[in-house]
Amino acid sequence: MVISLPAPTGLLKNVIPPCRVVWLFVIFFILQDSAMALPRYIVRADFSNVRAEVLVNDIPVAMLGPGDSSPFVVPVNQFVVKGRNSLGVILHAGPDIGTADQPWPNGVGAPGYTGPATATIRIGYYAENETALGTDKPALVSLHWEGMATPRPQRLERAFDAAIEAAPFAWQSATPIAVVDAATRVQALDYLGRLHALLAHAQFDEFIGEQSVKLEEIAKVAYGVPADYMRAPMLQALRAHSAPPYALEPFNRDDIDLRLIANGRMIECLKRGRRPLFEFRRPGSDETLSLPVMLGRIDGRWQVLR
Amino acid sequence: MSDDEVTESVAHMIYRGRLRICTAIGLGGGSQAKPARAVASDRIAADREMENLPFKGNAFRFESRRYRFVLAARWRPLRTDGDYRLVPEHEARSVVGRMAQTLARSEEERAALHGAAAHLSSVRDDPVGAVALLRTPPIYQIVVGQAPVSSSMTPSRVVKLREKKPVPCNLSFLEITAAPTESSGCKSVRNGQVRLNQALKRNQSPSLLKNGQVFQITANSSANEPREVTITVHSEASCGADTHPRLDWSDSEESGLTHKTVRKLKFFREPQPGDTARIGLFAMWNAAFSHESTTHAIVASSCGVPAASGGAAVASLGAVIEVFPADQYTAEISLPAFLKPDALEYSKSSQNWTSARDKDKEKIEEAKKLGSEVYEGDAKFMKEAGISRKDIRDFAEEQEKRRIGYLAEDPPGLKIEISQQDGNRLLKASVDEILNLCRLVRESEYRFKQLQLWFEKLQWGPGVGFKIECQFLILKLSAKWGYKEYTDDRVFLEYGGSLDLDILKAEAKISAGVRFAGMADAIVFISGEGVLGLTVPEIKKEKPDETVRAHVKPRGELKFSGGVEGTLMWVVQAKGSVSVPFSAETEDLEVFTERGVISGTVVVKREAVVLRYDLSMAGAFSMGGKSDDLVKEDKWSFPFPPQPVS
Repeated sequence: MVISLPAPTGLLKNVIPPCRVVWLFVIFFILQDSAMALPRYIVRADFSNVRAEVLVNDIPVAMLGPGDSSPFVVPVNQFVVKGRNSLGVILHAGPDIGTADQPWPNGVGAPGYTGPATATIRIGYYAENETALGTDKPALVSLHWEGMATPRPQRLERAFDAAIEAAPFAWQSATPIAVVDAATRVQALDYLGRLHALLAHAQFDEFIGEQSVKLEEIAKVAYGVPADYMRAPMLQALRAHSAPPYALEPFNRDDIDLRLIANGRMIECLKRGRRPLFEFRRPGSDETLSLPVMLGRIDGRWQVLR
Repeated sequence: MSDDEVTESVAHMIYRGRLRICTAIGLGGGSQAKPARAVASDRIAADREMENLPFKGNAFRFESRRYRFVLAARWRPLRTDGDYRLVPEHEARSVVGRMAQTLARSEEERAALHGAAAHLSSVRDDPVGAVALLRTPPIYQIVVGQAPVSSSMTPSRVVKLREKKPVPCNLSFLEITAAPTESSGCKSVRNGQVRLNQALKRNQSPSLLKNGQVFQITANSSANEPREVTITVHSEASCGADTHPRLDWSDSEESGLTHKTVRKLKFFREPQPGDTARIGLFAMWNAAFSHESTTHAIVASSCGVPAASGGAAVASLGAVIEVFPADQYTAEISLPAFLKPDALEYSKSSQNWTSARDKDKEKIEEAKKLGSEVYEGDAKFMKEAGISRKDIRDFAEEQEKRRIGYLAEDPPGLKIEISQQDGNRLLKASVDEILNLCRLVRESEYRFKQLQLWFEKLQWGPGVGFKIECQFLILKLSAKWGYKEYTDDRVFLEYGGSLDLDILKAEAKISAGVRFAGMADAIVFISGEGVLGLTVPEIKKEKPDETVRAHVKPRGELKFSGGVEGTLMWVVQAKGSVSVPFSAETEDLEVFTERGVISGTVVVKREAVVLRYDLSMAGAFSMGGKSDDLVKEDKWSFPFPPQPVS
């Protein structure tokens, strides 16, 4: 639990630097709030000059490129299950998710993708008040690679065990999909089209409602905080980025790229070129709001599971 | 009275100087009356011009004659004193032109002489704003009584009589001899021979000097024995021991004239601030560079009648003795890395900086009292948190010590020795100014360590913490400088030394709480170590013609880098590297030059950092293309000489 406190003012400010006073308060509040948040599984990636897609249990958790800051960390409680898990990386991942593990010598960015490269991916388990960058803890498992950047994907994977007491996530019991065939694609796109329509009509409560399983699981089950902890900022971000000059990107069925993830339990939905499917953009600016979607079918009904 | 008697009488009057041969100039006669304001303005301008002229309005020797510049308006009263007469305009311009070539000791004086020459031409029309050149009459050798004065003698015959029977009286050369002293630099006797029409050839014949040449020497203060310079007038022939050769001289004690051929002159340098009272380090440091030399004119004169017909007439030879301080300066400064945390605990007692320390103690006591008040204000909470009153008081005391740059004692390893060797005595500078420097360094260290001065949107929370060690200005300097006499007529500033300066050496491990996009709490991790410095390798200037410039080499790199980690479910994906660069710059920094040992300002800057990033919340939503000001710019300046810290 993060406690944000104002810097001390007045008498205290003149005598004691903020850090000292704040630490006292922090200790006080930590004692009171420590039960709220759960320990975290955090993936840390240290990389250089490499395109690397990090996966936990075959679910993409980060896509890193040569221009991104290293190290990069991402908490992954929502993808870690009780018992056996896997940490994977697709090195030199292709520009489209549907063919992420296929060579892409003619793909966008391929000519400049060269030179020495390294990647070290590790996953660790951290107490609620610990950070991956600030805590020197041994990894549960790690993957290390160094070589030359080349547009030929290479997949590495290692298993690790996790002791989790919480109930299984819904995606673990989603209907397995062997392949995204035409029929599956049509069904998925139909569902995605309805979600897009909700966004287009600014029906944000309904849009968030369609993700109730996802938000509930991530907030409460994975991290031990109320679902509102996610709903509120999500709604705030949607309202802030949906009004002009922001505009929702159109829904073009032919441009949508789907791939099976979570060992066939979910489908990741992006546009070609790894662009977000649901995205509000501000013309002439890099500012965007995107809403990642991973679908699954439970009891014959498509749902947003991550 | 017969014609012969009149002639003889006139000749006698000319000889005695009562009758002058003078071009009639109607001063003021032809000028238009000017308004009073214009007249006053002209006079002020003329006065200023007079101030810039060599010897100003005083008499001086040139080409065997005594000259004097006066304001034209002040010429009339001098007409009756029997010594001076106005030099005719056309001749005056020529004389002043020659003066500009041989007498001027600087470009300013040369310009003033040329300006005076221009104003000479307006004497007739503008007696108020003009400058007049006066000179004494030549001493005519009219031999009365040796040649029979015929009854037919006329004034023209008197002149002929003078020309017909000259008595040889001619200068050969003027010799300047300066024996070496311990501090003079040149270990051999320096000798200068001033001859007429002598060209200056320092490399081939360093002792040959041209007429009017400046001969530079060094001398100590009047607390020492004077520097002696021997002037010897060498004559080809003399008209008589009572008249020629004549030597007009001046030294640091007096001035006068003599008809003896040898004169020992005594010189001291000009008084300096450190002669009578202990002065600050940088006052002593800069004394050699801000002093003004003194000059003393030496003029030998004769009739200018060569012994042999066809020989060159040398009526006058002159030189100027220019005196520089002989003081030799040495500096050994070592400012160690005394800013480690344990350096707050200085235990030795000290004799230095008593008053400043007392003031500091008062401030520290006030801080401790304030600490007690803080404790009492939150006593309940403090007790619950297990913090004692002593903890708070000690903490407040330590913070105040850091804030004011408190120095209880010379930091271990601190070495400051600035000395000025003035002949037999050694002057030591007060090191009070180093206190200023130490305070500035301490204050900078304190500010550098204030985390809230680093981050724009700093937040406190779990995982936030920092350890910052920094040391500003770890300095090692050794230098020697002072004026030295060279083997020829010159004095030059000899200097040498080396400098090694760690401007900033820092080590940091920071985890700072920052709120991104107004909603996401994250922790920025910054760590690293490095040093920014300057090195000036050993240099030495030992000859006047050498051009020695210190090559100041910046060295090192200081950049803290790291990453960003969102708290709980937040993910911050930064674009580019997350790093905080520092840079060191110099402003007008000069090290080891003719203008000073070290002067200027060293500036350390922490660059502002704007972070570009994408922000996402556990896959619920993701905001791209965001940017936030992350790190504040900051700047630390260290001027040399250091300024007091308020």
